[in-house]
Amino acid sequence: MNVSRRDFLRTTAAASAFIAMGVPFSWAAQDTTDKWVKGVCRFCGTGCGVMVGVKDGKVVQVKGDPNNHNEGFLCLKGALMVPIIYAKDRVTQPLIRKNGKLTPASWDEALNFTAEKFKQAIKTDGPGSVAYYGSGQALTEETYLVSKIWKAGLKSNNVEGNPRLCMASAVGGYVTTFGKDEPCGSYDDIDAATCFFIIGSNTSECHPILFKRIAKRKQSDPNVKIIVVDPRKTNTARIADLHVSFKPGTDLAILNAMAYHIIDEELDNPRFHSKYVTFMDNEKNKLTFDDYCKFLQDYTPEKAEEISGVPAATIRKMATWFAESSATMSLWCMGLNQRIRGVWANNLTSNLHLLTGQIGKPGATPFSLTGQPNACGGVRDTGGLSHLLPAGRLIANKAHRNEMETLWGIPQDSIHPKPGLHTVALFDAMGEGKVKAIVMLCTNPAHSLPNVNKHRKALAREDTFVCLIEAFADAETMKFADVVLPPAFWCEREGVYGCSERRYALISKAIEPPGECRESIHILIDLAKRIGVDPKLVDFKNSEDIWNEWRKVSQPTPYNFFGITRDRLRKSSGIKWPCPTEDHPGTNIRYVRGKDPNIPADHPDKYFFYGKPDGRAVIWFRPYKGAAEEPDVQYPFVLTTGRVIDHWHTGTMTMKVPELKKSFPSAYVEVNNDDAKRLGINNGDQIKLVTRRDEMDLPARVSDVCRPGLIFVPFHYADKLINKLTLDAFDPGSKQPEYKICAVKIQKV
Amino acid sequence: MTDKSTISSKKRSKPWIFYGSTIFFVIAISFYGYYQSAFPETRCEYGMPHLESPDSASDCYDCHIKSTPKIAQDWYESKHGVMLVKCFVCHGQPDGKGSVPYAVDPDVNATCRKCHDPSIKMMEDKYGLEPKCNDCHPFHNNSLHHEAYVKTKSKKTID
Amino acid sequence: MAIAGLMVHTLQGAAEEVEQKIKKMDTMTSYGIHKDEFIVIVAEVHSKQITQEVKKIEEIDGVLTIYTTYVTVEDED
Repeated sequence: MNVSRRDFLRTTAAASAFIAMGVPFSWAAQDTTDKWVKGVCRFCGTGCGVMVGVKDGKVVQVKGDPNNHNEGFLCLKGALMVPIIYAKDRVTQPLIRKNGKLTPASWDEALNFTAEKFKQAIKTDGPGSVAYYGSGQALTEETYLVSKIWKAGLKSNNVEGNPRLCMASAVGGYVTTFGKDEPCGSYDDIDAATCFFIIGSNTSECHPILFKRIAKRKQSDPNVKIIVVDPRKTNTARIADLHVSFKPGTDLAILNAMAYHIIDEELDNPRFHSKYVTFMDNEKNKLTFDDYCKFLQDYTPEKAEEISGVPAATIRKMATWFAESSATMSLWCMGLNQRIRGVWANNLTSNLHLLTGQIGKPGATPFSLTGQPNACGGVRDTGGLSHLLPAGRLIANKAHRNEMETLWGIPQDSIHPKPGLHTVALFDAMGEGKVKAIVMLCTNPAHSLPNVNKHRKALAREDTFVCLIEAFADAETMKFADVVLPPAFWCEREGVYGCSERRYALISKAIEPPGECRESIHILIDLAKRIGVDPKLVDFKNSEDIWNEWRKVSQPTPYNFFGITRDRLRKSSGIKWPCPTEDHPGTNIRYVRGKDPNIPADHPDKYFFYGKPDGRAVIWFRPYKGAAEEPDVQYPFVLTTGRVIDHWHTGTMTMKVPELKKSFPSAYVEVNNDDAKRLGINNGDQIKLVTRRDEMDLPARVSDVCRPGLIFVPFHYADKLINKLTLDAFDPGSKQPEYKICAVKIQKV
Repeated sequence: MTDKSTISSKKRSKPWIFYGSTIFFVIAISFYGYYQSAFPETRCEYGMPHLESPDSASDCYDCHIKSTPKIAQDWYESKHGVMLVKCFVCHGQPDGKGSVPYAVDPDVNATCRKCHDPSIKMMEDKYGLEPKCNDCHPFHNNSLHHEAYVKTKSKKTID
Repeated sequence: MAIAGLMVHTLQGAAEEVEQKIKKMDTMTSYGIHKDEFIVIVAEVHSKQITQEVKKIEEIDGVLTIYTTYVTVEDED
């Protein structure tokens, strides 16, 4: 190299360093926003408050709401939300499929076409042939409205939503144990707990801000114990004092064995359970504590070890920590819910709290984490499922139906007395041509349903009319839509989200929606009127009107949140129900006198589980049941699906953020180190996954995250729909499918 | 005929060069071998054009643990690492096509404020400090075990 | 011989001190200080020793971190 070339290269080297420093880019600094509008994050069920920064009618920044429970913090998805609003493939005008292609149409054309299809289906096949499939990401007002339109207006109970796929078992668990849905504690319990029992949840990636709160709790007091029970060693396990890996599907045995040990070591709380607990077996016979002890003889830690692979000593340790800690909080999510006995798994976790009295005190509570931002407030509470009516009422209960008929101003006994079709049954019925017309809002079933090939065929049927209200043109379900209607997205309209801790918070309107997008409530009201629903039923000018009706409807029930007026929501950053009056601050702890406004101040006992006729919660004797499709000689591995922190569900939103897309751009399969060595699989090799339903090639990521015998695939990718391989066996009680376990074989391609 | 002393001295110096370079060679090979096998679960062969090749994209850490191991490990062990506040949240992406402006030294107002606004406002109000967090709070080293506001000039002692 | 462009990031105000110490290393040339916390350095050293040299700089009190912005090994054998 001659001297001048060397000089040149030296200069280049220096220049590169200068370039790298650049000038810090004040692209969206504090003082370049016109206003900050309060809202709630679009993603997970943690429900972080966000402040949306608007300048010249455009969203330019987001930051955390300092006054909401997240105290200003956001995870990486929340922090990077802005580009999603301005994605190039936003659907901004109504579309009708003509000659196989979705072509732009006017609102009148699209709505009239849809209304005709509905009217026809109802005329020829009755109200049972039309349906609605919604979402835990829709606004509370949207789902409440739909429930009323369908159940009161069209007389069809086929109102379902994707919470059936994620939270139905938690609902079933809470209702069978306590009589009423939703957690009895709140996030405040995290700050007081001394032991965390995290099972079936990868909190660090799926509820990051709650994970942060848990980690902070441990940092403030190193004596706090964290137990993470998960067949994968996730990032959540990084802060665990005890990570317990177990054979997938054996959770029921482990939970029962923990109960066995607690009783064996006399760590239970007889004063609590003799006064506040009913012991019931699977056939609903009322039994005694001694019967419970006899039942648990089949679940000694040694027997559970044989079933689950968890050493008996570890089960004992978990149980001891659980019982002996001053305040134990359990947190769980899809690992327990997406099982064919998810309701039982929920029951058994609550059992441990009821057995030890670890409930109703700050830090002691069984807390079910909700996946979606509005599955609680929107779908569960408003009764947006085929067997529910608003505020915990049931379709099958005549008194409840009559109550709703009065509140809705329709004749007595006009609501159809039989529950409608649950999600899997609904799509099965579509596949058989029994459901002819369906409206879907804010969800992507052609991607997210289990055993999805079958259901895509159902959606593809000529005689199934699909009207899809969808904001993003790359959603898989667009391929099957006959009509697409463009909705206002997230902060382009005002409405309420209710997160995991029973907090109802308001998303304020920050900007106008683009193109011809309309607020979904107006789309639904317009459509309902054109189908022929009585206009008096949908006489709402805006979402606030709907909110005020829903408040009144909740008043006679323990879900009473009449005191959460729109005004209060605007001034605050969310309020936790029950909240009966406008001066009530909201409720942290339910079922405890003095804390729960549903309990009179002079009630004789401290605890009152008013959801149950005798005021007592139930400890259920649930037997061990494994997965629907256990691994066998032909399919020796377990396939589990799940999420990564960078992406949300079917990726139609997070894939619009370049950084998130680059972070995890494509699907892969996580394989255990030892399994990979045995099968000669190296990191990056293409391997073929085969289940009884379909097969798929994916690149391998070899690591020690999965336990031997387990493989994991994230489900965010439209080009690699792992749900083609999963099965739709469901919990007979909750009808929730078992996404988490199916049998698979893998081989190098 | 050469002097016996010269021949033997020549013969004596050669082995040292030989041994020296062999040892150096062995060390270099083993270091190279270790380096290649140290992080088997990451793939980094796309190296320089890493952002142009979509298949190799990852969340920065996978490759940076090999290319800038100290910073990557600092981050991993810090609060941001445990909480999965990944590199691109603050730094954006190096091809500049991301939604976060690419910056080696991120602008506090565009990044930190998204989550730490209450603390920044408090520091501004209480101490009149302009937001330049890194002066006291090392971005990558905010360890789980230290107080966040300990200011250190030296890596070896705490003043 | 590799030629590498390095950006040394120091604690606010410590840049001058650090630059003095780096200048004492004969493989390093300083191209200046920016904003009292960045130093642009060009290193001329065999690529096999680069990591060591960089480590030496890292150990200097007040250095936060070092970024390698450019490396060429054109005339190495």
